[in-house]
Amino acid sequence: MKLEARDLSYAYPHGPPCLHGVSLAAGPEGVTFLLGANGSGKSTLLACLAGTRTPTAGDVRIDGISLRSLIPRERAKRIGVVPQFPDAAFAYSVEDTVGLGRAPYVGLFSRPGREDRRVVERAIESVGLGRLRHRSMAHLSGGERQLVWIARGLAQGAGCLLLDEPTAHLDPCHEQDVFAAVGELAAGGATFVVASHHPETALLYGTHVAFLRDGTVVRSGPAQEAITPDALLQAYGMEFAILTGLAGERAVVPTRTARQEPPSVSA
Amino acid sequence: MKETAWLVATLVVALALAAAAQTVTVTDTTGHAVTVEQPVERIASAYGIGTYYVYALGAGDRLVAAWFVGVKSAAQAPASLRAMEPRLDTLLRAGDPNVEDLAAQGTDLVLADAAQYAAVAGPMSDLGVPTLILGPETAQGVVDTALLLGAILGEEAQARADALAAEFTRVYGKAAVAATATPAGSRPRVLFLGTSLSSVASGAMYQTQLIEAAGGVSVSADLVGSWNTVNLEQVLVWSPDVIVIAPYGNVTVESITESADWQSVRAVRARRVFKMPRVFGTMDTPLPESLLGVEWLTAALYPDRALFDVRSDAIAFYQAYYGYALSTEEADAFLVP
Amino acid sequence: MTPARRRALSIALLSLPVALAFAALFVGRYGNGVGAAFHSVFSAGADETLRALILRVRLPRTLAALFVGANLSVAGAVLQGLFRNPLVDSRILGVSSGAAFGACLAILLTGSALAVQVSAFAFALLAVAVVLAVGWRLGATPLALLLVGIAVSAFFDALLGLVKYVADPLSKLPAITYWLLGGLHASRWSNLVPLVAISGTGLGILFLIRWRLNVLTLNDEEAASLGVRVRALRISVVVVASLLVATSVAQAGMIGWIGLVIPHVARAWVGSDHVHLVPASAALGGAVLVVLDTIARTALPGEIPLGILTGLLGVPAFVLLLVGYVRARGGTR
Repeated sequence: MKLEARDLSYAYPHGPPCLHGVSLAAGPEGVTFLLGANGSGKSTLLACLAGTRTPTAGDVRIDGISLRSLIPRERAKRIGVVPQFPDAAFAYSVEDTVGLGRAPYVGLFSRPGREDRRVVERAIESVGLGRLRHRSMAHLSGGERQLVWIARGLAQGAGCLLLDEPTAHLDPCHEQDVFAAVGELAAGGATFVVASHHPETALLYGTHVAFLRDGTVVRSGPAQEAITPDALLQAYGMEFAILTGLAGERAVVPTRTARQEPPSVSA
Repeated sequence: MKETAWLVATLVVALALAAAAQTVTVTDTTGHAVTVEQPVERIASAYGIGTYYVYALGAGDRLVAAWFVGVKSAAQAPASLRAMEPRLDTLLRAGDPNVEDLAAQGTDLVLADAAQYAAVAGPMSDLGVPTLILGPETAQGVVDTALLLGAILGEEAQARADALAAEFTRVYGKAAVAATATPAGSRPRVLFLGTSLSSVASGAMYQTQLIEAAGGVSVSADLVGSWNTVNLEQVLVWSPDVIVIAPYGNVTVESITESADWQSVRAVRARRVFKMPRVFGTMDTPLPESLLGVEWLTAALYPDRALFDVRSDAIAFYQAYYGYALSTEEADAFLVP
Repeated sequence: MTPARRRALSIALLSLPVALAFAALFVGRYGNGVGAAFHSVFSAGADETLRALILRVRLPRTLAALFVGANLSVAGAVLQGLFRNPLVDSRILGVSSGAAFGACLAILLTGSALAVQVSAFAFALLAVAVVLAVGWRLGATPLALLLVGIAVSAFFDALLGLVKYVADPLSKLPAITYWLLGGLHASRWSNLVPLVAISGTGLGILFLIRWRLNVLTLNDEEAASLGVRVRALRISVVVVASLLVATSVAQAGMIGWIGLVIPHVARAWVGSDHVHLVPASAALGGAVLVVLDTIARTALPGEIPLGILTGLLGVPAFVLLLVGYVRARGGTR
């Protein structure tokens, strides 16, 4: 699925503007990283892409269809979201959590049927958590929980999944697990848009990137080409070096010079 | 001439002062000794039950502020009370006593019960006004309270109190003799209902004493506290012979006799369900008219004995003590059907 | 839990209230024991009074206990999910306070049992209406509803205080105090109709939408991304739950702790999935209240107020649950 933002602007009600004329295209397939400092508008952009916030100007299209013309249920069948702070007051099982992804397909007075359960089963398998399907979410590691939420998005039938800083609290091992799954799914045809403030992950796992600063896109393109010290300086106001290891692996490392200007904060 | 006039005037004043210096010291129900200056002209009765005693002793015209038990606003006052006391609207008080209000009335004696006493006695005594605690809970208490008030309210009140005491002795004595004539096992079992079909009087209450004085047995005598809630099942277990309904509240005889659920109760089948009559004071409370309550109960429990002519006694009582003439309807209410 | 075990547990849970209610019909202060009671109903020519008692007094009362218990428990369960807070009681939205004020006002002014029920229900609806109207303007988020609910509760509590102050201590105040402590002794076939009608409808609706209620436990953005109209669903659930609470309070006075504790016990046995939680809460709540009501009308000659029994049992139960909770999670979060 192809997800496009055209000239998107957003301002909080009674608040300052947050996004200005953002244009972006993600997909079909691939993992697009949104990079930028804290407060650059990544989460807001993600919310607009998901359709949970209505932009004050501009449009978002999924496979050419404007989000404005879709009722919430139809939108949910195409776009899935893994929010930054999913909270769970009650401990559901993995199966039940992924099962919630079938909400767009289940009628108001119904429960998930056999077909729904099959879809849920497949989604759980595709992130490699089959053996944990009855486990309570409270007993999973952070990385496993992220995979469950990704599976929920898949159960929605979504061709496009939006992840807001999915590995922010994960150790490198689990981060790799998550992005391995993401990569496999992307290779299988899904589109991912990942907001992150760690450029190194984009370099390792992304196919495309878009840099945000103060609510506008300052640079975008294929990951390996667009991530340059120059782009990083523009986005973060800091100097980075891109190093290549002996085996060809690449890393982004901040250099020790002082920052040129403090990153501005858009409230 | 002028000197003589002045002498007479001085003598009169001296005598008046001497009379005014008269005091009576009594001991109230808590054992406090209270000194009351004579004569008592302006009474504030903050005790809803005590107010009726003041009227019964003929001192009602000396009230300046009064609480009436069961009457919280002028709208709630029965017509008979209004007829007995035309000044009701100006006299009637409710809620906590307001010391400034009582002082403004020129009160020289306050009647209170234990609950109000704490609030009112201290400030009033600072103003030089004595407070008397009352709180009759038995028939003896009723008589003692009347005599106590009679001692401080003047000769006529004293005479009425003595007469009331004699009446109590006569009625209770007669009822007791008749009661002991019936062995304990065959005395009628009585259920005393309050303001709802599930509200019954406990053993500690005045109502139970009245029942026993009239020669009955209260089925709820082993309950404690004040009004208890019971369900129909318990009433069936008790199986009362007679049901008596308190004179206040909305419960009517018909609401019981016409209720399909209550048909299984013995008292209902035998048609022995009665509601106590009420003129203004309620006869199941420790008031002077509770005397008539005993008479009425004996008529309800032992209809063949005809110990008392309740109707005539009621007419005489209200005339003698309250100066109130019962209407035919009110008098007939004292007849037990 | 395997499906087979879950099915067995469901059957056990759903038959529990029925079995207990049936047994309760034959327990009481009147009569010579359970056997005689059984006999009186099922054989002809036996103790007529006892049979009348069972069919006209115990049966409607037991039914009322079943419904009130189910109502409060289900309302508590769905509100806990809606507010994402396991400490929520069915009293949270001011419904109970409104109902209490309405009932006591009617006791003060009339004394007719019908007026009390109608007034309780009417003021409960008024309370809900205010909460929804003001809460809507504040965005109808759980926090908004909670805050307005607290305000409405406090307002009606103050009005109730006023009613108690002006009530005649001889005839009205005891009735008011007693009503506030909760009890089912006034339940008859004649006044059961509104309770059954509203409970049946409300419980039925919540039963049908119970899977969707799981979506409400997610935060608003997540739920919206799943295509669910969160505000509309939330308001509907609030209205239905409030109706259940309103009719229960109108029938039985103030009964606390059922709405808080029963869902927790149910959760411990069947999990948090509302598909199982809603029926389990209903069954467990009904069963518990039948038992408590039977105790209330049998243990002593006088009626023990239900609110006292639920408090005396509910609080220790809650503490035990809390301890178990904390231990299972390895410490407070």
